[in-house]
Amino acid sequence: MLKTDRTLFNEWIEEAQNGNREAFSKIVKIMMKPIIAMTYKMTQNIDSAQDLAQDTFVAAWQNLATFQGKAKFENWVYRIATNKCLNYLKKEGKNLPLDNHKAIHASDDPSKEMLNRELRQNILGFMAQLPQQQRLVFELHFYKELTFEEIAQLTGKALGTVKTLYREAIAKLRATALKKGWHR
Amino acid sequence: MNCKQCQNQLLLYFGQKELPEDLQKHLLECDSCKKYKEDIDALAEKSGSDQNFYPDDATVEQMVNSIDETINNLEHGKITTTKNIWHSYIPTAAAVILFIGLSLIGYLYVLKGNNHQQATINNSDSLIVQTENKDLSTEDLPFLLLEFTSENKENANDLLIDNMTDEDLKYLEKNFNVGEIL
Repeated sequence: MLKTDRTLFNEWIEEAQNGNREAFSKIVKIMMKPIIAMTYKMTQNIDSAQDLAQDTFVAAWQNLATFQGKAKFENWVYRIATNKCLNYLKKEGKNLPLDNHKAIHASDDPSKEMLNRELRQNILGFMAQLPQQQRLVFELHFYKELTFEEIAQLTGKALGTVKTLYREAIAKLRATALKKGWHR
Repeated sequence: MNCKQCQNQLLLYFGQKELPEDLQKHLLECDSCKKYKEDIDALAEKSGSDQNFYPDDATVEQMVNSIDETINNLEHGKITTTKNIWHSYIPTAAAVILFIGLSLIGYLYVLKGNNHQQATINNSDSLIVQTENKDLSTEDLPFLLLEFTSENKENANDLLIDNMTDEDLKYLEKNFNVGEIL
Protein backbone atom coordinates (compact mmCIF):
# COMPACT_ATOMS: atom_id res chain seq x y z
CA MET A 1 0.00 0.00 0.00
CA LEU A 2 1.41 3.40 -1.02
CA LYS A 3 1.85 6.11 1.56
CA THR A 4 -1.01 8.19 0.17
CA ASP A 5 -3.16 5.07 0.06
CA ARG A 6 -2.24 4.37 3.65
CA THR A 7 -3.27 7.89 4.69
CA LEU A 8 -6.58 7.49 2.88
CA PHE A 9 -7.04 4.03 4.36
CA ASN A 10 -6.49 5.40 7.86
CA GLU A 11 -9.06 8.11 7.19
CA TRP A 12 -11.59 5.47 6.18
CA ILE A 13 -10.89 3.55 9.37
CA GLU A 14 -11.51 6.67 11.43
CA GLU A 15 -14.70 7.45 9.51
CA ALA A 16 -15.89 3.86 9.86
CA GLN A 17 -15.26 4.04 13.59
CA ASN A 18 -17.56 7.05 13.63
CA GLY A 19 -20.27 4.92 12.05
CA ASN A 20 -19.68 5.70 8.37
CA ARG A 21 -20.80 2.55 6.55
CA GLU A 22 -19.61 3.76 3.18
CA ALA A 23 -16.07 4.13 4.50
CA PHE A 24 -16.28 0.65 5.97
CA SER A 25 -17.41 -0.77 2.60
CA LYS A 26 -14.31 0.76 1.00
CA ILE A 27 -12.12 -0.98 3.57
CA VAL A 28 -13.94 -4.26 2.96
CA LYS A 29 -13.39 -3.91 -0.78
CA ILE A 30 -9.64 -3.50 -0.31
CA MET A 31 -9.25 -6.23 2.27
CA MET A 32 -11.66 -8.80 0.86
CA LYS A 33 -9.18 -10.46 -1.52
CA PRO A 34 -6.40 -11.12 1.02
CA ILE A 35 -8.94 -12.26 3.60
CA ILE A 36 -10.59 -14.75 1.23
CA ALA A 37 -7.13 -15.93 0.11
CA MET A 38 -6.33 -16.55 3.76
CA THR A 39 -9.57 -18.29 4.71
CA TYR A 40 -9.34 -20.39 1.51
CA LYS A 41 -5.83 -21.58 2.28
CA MET A 42 -6.77 -22.28 5.87
CA THR A 43 -10.02 -24.16 5.19
CA GLN A 44 -9.35 -25.54 1.67
CA ASN A 45 -12.98 -24.93 0.77
CA ILE A 46 -14.13 -21.90 -1.19
CA ASP A 47 -17.68 -21.82 0.20
CA SER A 48 -16.47 -21.99 3.79
CA ALA A 49 -13.77 -19.44 2.94
CA GLN A 50 -16.38 -16.96 1.71
CA ASP A 51 -18.59 -17.54 4.75
CA LEU A 52 -15.66 -17.01 7.10
CA ALA A 53 -14.59 -13.88 5.24
CA GLN A 54 -18.09 -12.49 5.57
CA ASP A 55 -18.20 -13.35 9.29
CA THR A 56 -14.82 -11.68 9.71
CA PHE A 57 -15.96 -8.36 8.27
CA VAL A 58 -19.28 -8.38 10.11
CA ALA A 59 -17.38 -9.01 13.37
CA ALA A 60 -14.91 -6.26 12.43
CA TRP A 61 -17.78 -3.79 11.97
CA GLN A 62 -19.37 -4.79 15.25
CA ASN A 63 -16.08 -4.43 17.13
CA LEU A 64 -14.61 -1.40 15.37
CA ALA A 65 -14.78 0.60 18.57
CA THR A 66 -12.29 -1.77 20.20
CA PHE A 67 -9.63 -1.11 17.54
CA GLN A 68 -7.24 1.31 19.17
CA GLY A 69 -4.66 1.60 16.44
CA LYS A 70 -1.89 -0.07 18.45
CA ALA A 71 -1.38 -2.61 15.66
CA LYS A 72 -2.00 -2.23 11.93
CA PHE A 73 -5.68 -2.38 11.03
CA GLU A 74 -4.97 -5.23 8.59
CA ASN A 75 -3.36 -7.25 11.37
CA TRP A 76 -6.38 -6.62 13.58
CA VAL A 77 -8.65 -7.99 10.82
CA TYR A 78 -6.24 -10.91 10.26
CA ARG A 79 -6.57 -11.70 13.95
CA ILE A 80 -10.37 -11.84 13.63
CA ALA A 81 -10.05 -14.03 10.51
CA THR A 82 -7.54 -16.25 12.31
CA ASN A 83 -9.96 -16.83 15.18
CA LYS A 84 -12.80 -17.55 12.76
CA CYS A 85 -10.63 -20.05 10.84
CA LEU A 86 -9.33 -21.81 13.95
CA ASN A 87 -12.86 -22.10 15.36
CA TYR A 88 -14.03 -23.51 12.03
CA LEU A 89 -11.18 -26.02 11.94
CA LYS A 90 -11.88 -27.00 15.53
CA LYS A 91 -15.51 -27.70 14.66
CA GLU A 92 -14.79 -29.47 11.40
CA GLY A 93 -11.90 -31.46 12.89
CA LYS A 94 -9.71 -33.29 10.46
CA ASN A 95 -12.51 -33.86 7.97
CA LEU A 96 -11.94 -30.84 5.83
CA PRO A 97 -14.43 -30.70 2.99
CA LEU A 98 -11.87 -30.39 0.19
CA ASP A 99 -13.29 -28.99 -3.01
CA ASN A 100 -10.53 -30.10 -5.38
CA HIS A 101 -9.01 -26.63 -5.24
CA LYS A 102 -11.40 -25.25 -7.77
CA ALA A 103 -10.44 -21.94 -9.29
CA ILE A 104 -11.34 -18.91 -7.26
CA HIS A 105 -10.09 -16.63 -9.97
CA ALA A 106 -10.38 -17.45 -13.65
CA SER A 107 -7.58 -15.73 -15.56
CA ASP A 108 -8.20 -14.44 -19.07
CA ASP A 109 -5.02 -16.12 -20.22
CA PRO A 110 -5.63 -19.91 -20.36
CA SER A 111 -1.94 -20.88 -20.11
CA LYS A 112 -1.48 -18.55 -17.15
CA GLU A 113 -4.60 -19.96 -15.54
CA MET A 114 -3.27 -23.50 -15.98
CA LEU A 115 -0.05 -22.59 -14.18
CA ASN A 116 -2.04 -20.82 -11.49
CA ARG A 117 -4.24 -23.86 -10.98
CA GLU A 118 -1.21 -26.12 -10.68
CA LEU A 119 0.37 -23.77 -8.16
CA ARG A 120 -2.80 -23.60 -6.11
CA GLN A 121 -3.16 -27.36 -6.15
CA ASN A 122 0.42 -27.82 -4.99
CA ILE A 123 0.27 -25.24 -2.23
CA LEU A 124 -3.22 -26.07 -0.98
CA GLY A 125 -2.38 -29.77 -1.02
CA PHE A 126 0.77 -29.07 0.97
CA MET A 127 -0.96 -26.74 3.44
CA ALA A 128 -3.73 -29.26 4.06
CA GLN A 129 -1.11 -31.60 5.51
CA LEU A 130 0.32 -29.00 7.91
CA PRO A 131 -0.86 -28.78 11.50
CA GLN A 132 -3.14 -25.75 11.95
CA GLN A 133 -0.60 -23.57 13.76
CA GLN A 134 2.13 -24.21 11.17
CA ARG A 135 -0.37 -23.53 8.40
CA LEU A 136 -1.34 -20.26 10.03
CA VAL A 137 2.23 -19.05 10.60
CA PHE A 138 3.20 -20.04 7.03
CA GLU A 139 0.20 -18.11 5.69
CA LEU A 140 0.81 -15.01 7.77
CA HIS A 141 4.56 -14.79 7.22
CA PHE A 142 5.04 -16.00 3.65
CA TYR A 143 1.83 -14.83 1.99
CA LYS A 144 0.75 -11.93 4.19
CA GLU A 145 4.33 -10.79 4.89
CA LEU A 146 3.76 -10.17 8.57
CA THR A 147 6.92 -10.13 10.66
CA PHE A 148 7.49 -12.88 13.20
CA GLU A 149 6.99 -10.28 15.94
CA GLU A 150 3.62 -9.27 14.50
CA ILE A 151 2.56 -12.92 14.23
CA ALA A 152 3.63 -13.54 17.83
CA GLN A 153 1.53 -10.56 18.90
CA LEU A 154 -1.42 -11.63 16.75
CA THR A 155 -1.44 -15.26 17.87
CA GLY A 156 -0.31 -14.69 21.45
CA LYS A 157 2.59 -17.10 20.97
CA ALA A 158 6.22 -16.65 21.95
CA LEU A 159 8.49 -15.31 19.22
CA GLY A 160 10.68 -18.43 19.37
CA THR A 161 7.63 -20.66 18.95
CA VAL A 162 6.50 -18.73 15.90
CA LYS A 163 9.96 -19.03 14.30
CA THR A 164 10.09 -22.75 15.04
CA LEU A 165 6.63 -23.26 13.51
CA TYR A 166 7.70 -21.42 10.38
CA ARG A 167 10.99 -23.26 10.07
CA GLU A 168 9.20 -26.60 10.43
CA ALA A 169 6.62 -25.61 7.84
CA ILE A 170 9.31 -24.65 5.30
CA ALA A 171 11.28 -27.83 5.96
CA LYS A 172 8.10 -29.81 5.24
CA LEU A 173 7.42 -27.73 2.14
CA ARG A 174 10.91 -28.51 0.83
CA ALA A 175 10.50 -32.21 1.59
CA THR A 176 7.09 -32.28 -0.14
CA ALA A 177 8.41 -30.42 -3.18
CA LEU A 178 11.40 -32.79 -3.46
CA LYS A 179 9.16 -35.83 -3.08
CA LYS A 180 6.62 -34.67 -5.66
CA GLY A 181 9.12 -32.94 -7.90
CA TRP A 182 6.97 -29.85 -8.32
CA HIS A 183 9.53 -27.18 -7.53
CA ARG A 184 11.78 -27.88 -10.52
CA MET B 1 28.51 -20.26 11.49
CA ASN B 2 28.46 -23.88 10.30
CA CYS B 3 26.39 -25.32 7.43
CA LYS B 4 23.66 -26.70 9.69
CA GLN B 5 23.16 -23.33 11.36
CA CYS B 6 23.21 -21.60 7.97
CA GLN B 7 20.57 -23.90 6.45
CA ASN B 8 18.40 -23.58 9.55
CA GLN B 9 18.58 -19.82 9.23
CA LEU B 10 17.83 -19.96 5.51
CA LEU B 11 14.51 -21.67 6.29
CA LEU B 12 13.55 -18.64 8.35
CA TYR B 13 14.41 -16.32 5.46
CA PHE B 14 12.37 -18.34 2.98
CA GLY B 15 10.93 -15.94 0.40
CA GLN B 16 13.03 -12.99 1.53
CA LYS B 17 15.73 -11.38 -0.57
CA GLU B 18 17.67 -9.65 2.14
CA LEU B 19 19.80 -11.84 4.35
CA PRO B 20 21.83 -10.99 7.49
CA GLU B 21 25.51 -10.40 6.99
CA ASP B 22 26.72 -13.57 8.70
CA LEU B 23 24.55 -15.66 6.38
CA GLN B 24 25.73 -13.83 3.31
CA LYS B 25 29.33 -14.33 4.38
CA HIS B 26 28.85 -18.08 4.86
CA LEU B 27 27.10 -18.41 1.51
CA LEU B 28 30.03 -16.78 -0.25
CA GLU B 29 32.36 -19.37 1.24
CA CYS B 30 30.19 -22.52 1.06
CA ASP B 31 29.05 -24.04 -2.24
CA SER B 32 26.83 -26.59 -0.55
CA CYS B 33 24.86 -23.92 1.32
CA LYS B 34 24.81 -21.76 -1.79
CA LYS B 35 23.16 -24.64 -3.65
CA TYR B 36 20.74 -25.09 -0.76
CA LYS B 37 19.87 -21.38 -0.98
CA GLU B 38 19.18 -21.67 -4.72
CA ASP B 39 16.85 -24.60 -4.06
CA ILE B 40 15.00 -22.64 -1.40
CA ASP B 41 14.67 -19.61 -3.69
CA ALA B 42 13.28 -21.75 -6.53
CA LEU B 43 10.79 -23.25 -4.11
CA ALA B 44 9.71 -19.80 -2.90
CA GLU B 45 9.10 -18.76 -6.49
CA LYS B 46 7.05 -21.88 -7.14
CA SER B 47 4.99 -21.14 -4.05
CA GLY B 48 3.61 -18.04 -5.75
CA SER B 49 2.15 -15.12 -3.91
CA ASP B 50 -1.08 -14.26 -2.17
CA GLN B 51 -2.49 -12.91 -5.45
CA ASN B 52 -2.60 -16.45 -6.84
CA PHE B 53 -5.38 -17.15 -4.37
CA TYR B 54 -7.41 -13.99 -4.85
CA PRO B 55 -11.04 -14.24 -5.97
CA ASP B 56 -12.20 -12.30 -9.02
CA ASP B 57 -13.67 -8.80 -8.82
CA ALA B 58 -17.24 -10.00 -9.37
CA THR B 59 -17.00 -12.29 -6.32
CA VAL B 60 -15.58 -9.45 -4.24
CA GLU B 61 -18.36 -7.08 -5.34
CA GLN B 62 -20.99 -9.68 -4.53
CA MET B 63 -19.51 -10.31 -1.10
CA VAL B 64 -19.19 -6.62 -0.27
CA ASN B 65 -22.91 -6.21 -1.05
CA SER B 66 -23.77 -9.28 0.97
CA ILE B 67 -21.82 -7.96 3.98
CA ASP B 68 -23.50 -4.59 3.62
CA GLU B 69 -26.89 -6.27 3.61
CA THR B 70 -26.03 -8.42 6.63
CA ILE B 71 -24.91 -5.38 8.62
CA ASN B 72 -28.08 -3.53 7.58
CA ASN B 73 -30.22 -6.41 8.78
CA LEU B 74 -28.28 -6.67 12.02
CA GLU B 75 -28.69 -2.99 12.72
CA HIS B 76 -32.40 -3.09 11.99
CA GLY B 77 -32.89 -6.19 14.09
CA LYS B 78 -33.95 -8.38 11.18
CA ILE B 79 -31.35 -10.97 12.04
CA THR B 80 -31.50 -12.52 15.44
CA THR B 81 -28.92 -14.77 16.92
CA THR B 82 -29.56 -18.46 17.44
CA LYS B 83 -30.02 -17.76 21.13
CA ASN B 84 -32.75 -15.20 20.46
CA ILE B 85 -34.57 -17.50 18.05
CA TRP B 86 -34.66 -20.13 20.77
CA HIS B 87 -35.98 -17.60 23.21
CA SER B 88 -38.95 -16.76 20.98
CA TYR B 89 -39.91 -20.43 20.73
CA ILE B 90 -39.71 -21.19 24.44
CA PRO B 91 -43.26 -19.99 25.42
CA THR B 92 -44.82 -21.84 22.46
CA ALA B 93 -42.90 -25.02 23.27
CA ALA B 94 -43.87 -24.74 26.94
CA ALA B 95 -47.55 -24.26 26.04
CA VAL B 96 -47.51 -27.28 23.71
CA ILE B 97 -45.81 -29.46 26.33
CA LEU B 98 -48.28 -28.30 29.00
CA PHE B 99 -51.25 -29.01 26.72
CA ILE B 100 -49.99 -32.48 25.83
CA GLY B 101 -49.21 -33.20 29.49
CA LEU B 102 -52.63 -32.13 30.73
CA SER B 103 -54.37 -34.05 27.93
CA LEU B 104 -52.43 -37.17 28.83
CA ILE B 105 -53.20 -36.83 32.52
CA GLY B 106 -56.87 -36.26 31.72
CA TYR B 107 -56.98 -39.25 29.42
CA LEU B 108 -55.35 -41.51 32.01
CA TYR B 109 -57.72 -40.24 34.68
CA VAL B 110 -60.79 -40.98 32.56
CA LEU B 111 -59.39 -44.36 31.55
CA LYS B 112 -58.79 -45.30 35.17
CA GLY B 113 -62.32 -44.15 36.10
CA ASN B 114 -63.86 -46.35 33.41
CA ASN B 115 -61.86 -49.36 34.53
CA HIS B 116 -62.81 -48.71 38.09
CA GLN B 117 -66.48 -48.47 37.16
CA GLN B 118 -66.30 -51.69 35.21
CA ALA B 119 -64.48 -53.56 37.94
CA THR B 120 -66.62 -52.40 40.81
CA ILE B 121 -69.94 -53.88 41.51
CA ASN B 122 -72.37 -51.10 42.09
CA ASN B 123 -74.65 -51.55 45.08
CA SER B 124 -77.69 -50.59 43.08
CA ASP B 125 -77.11 -53.24 40.41
CA SER B 126 -77.74 -56.84 40.96
CA LEU B 127 -74.86 -59.26 40.78
CA ILE B 128 -76.62 -61.23 38.11
CA VAL B 129 -76.87 -58.26 35.83
CA GLN B 130 -73.15 -57.60 36.33
CA THR B 131 -72.16 -61.13 35.67
CA GLU B 132 -74.41 -61.37 32.65
CA ASN B 133 -73.05 -58.20 31.13
CA LYS B 134 -69.49 -59.23 31.68
CA ASP B 135 -70.02 -62.82 30.70
CA LEU B 136 -68.11 -64.00 33.72
CA SER B 137 -67.19 -67.54 34.47
CA THR B 138 -67.51 -69.32 37.79
CA GLU B 139 -63.87 -68.59 38.63
CA ASP B 140 -64.42 -64.85 38.31
CA LEU B 141 -67.00 -64.58 41.02
CA PRO B 142 -64.66 -64.68 44.04
CA PHE B 143 -62.59 -61.91 42.46
CA LEU B 144 -65.69 -59.81 41.88
CA LEU B 145 -66.73 -60.28 45.46
CA LEU B 146 -63.23 -59.51 46.65
CA GLU B 147 -63.20 -56.33 44.59
CA PHE B 148 -66.58 -55.41 45.97
CA THR B 149 -65.49 -55.96 49.56
CA SER B 150 -62.27 -53.99 49.07
CA GLU B 151 -64.35 -51.02 47.96
CA ASN B 152 -66.99 -51.47 50.69
CA LYS B 153 -64.98 -52.57 53.65
CA GLU B 154 -67.75 -52.41 56.23
CA ASN B 155 -70.35 -55.18 56.12
CA ALA B 156 -69.63 -55.85 52.51
CA ASN B 157 -71.07 -59.34 52.48
CA ASP B 158 -74.25 -58.21 54.22
CA LEU B 159 -74.72 -55.38 51.80
CA LEU B 160 -74.23 -57.71 48.91
CA ILE B 161 -76.71 -60.26 50.17
CA ASP B 162 -79.18 -57.62 51.29
CA ASN B 163 -79.23 -56.08 47.86
CA MET B 164 -79.89 -59.35 46.13
CA THR B 165 -83.37 -60.39 45.21
CA ASP B 166 -84.57 -63.92 45.62
CA GLU B 167 -84.36 -64.32 41.91
CA ASP B 168 -80.73 -63.27 42.01
CA LEU B 169 -79.89 -65.79 44.69
CA LYS B 170 -81.63 -68.59 42.85
CA TYR B 171 -79.77 -67.73 39.69
CA LEU B 172 -76.49 -67.73 41.52
CA GLU B 173 -77.10 -71.02 43.23
CA LYS B 174 -78.12 -72.57 39.97
CA ASN B 175 -75.36 -71.29 37.75
CA PHE B 176 -72.35 -70.62 40.04
CA ASN B 177 -70.53 -72.45 42.76
CA VAL B 178 -71.17 -69.79 45.39
CA GLY B 179 -72.57 -71.82 48.23
CA GLU B 180 -69.52 -71.46 50.46
CA ILE B 181 -69.16 -67.73 49.94
CA LEU B 182 -72.77 -66.87 50.50
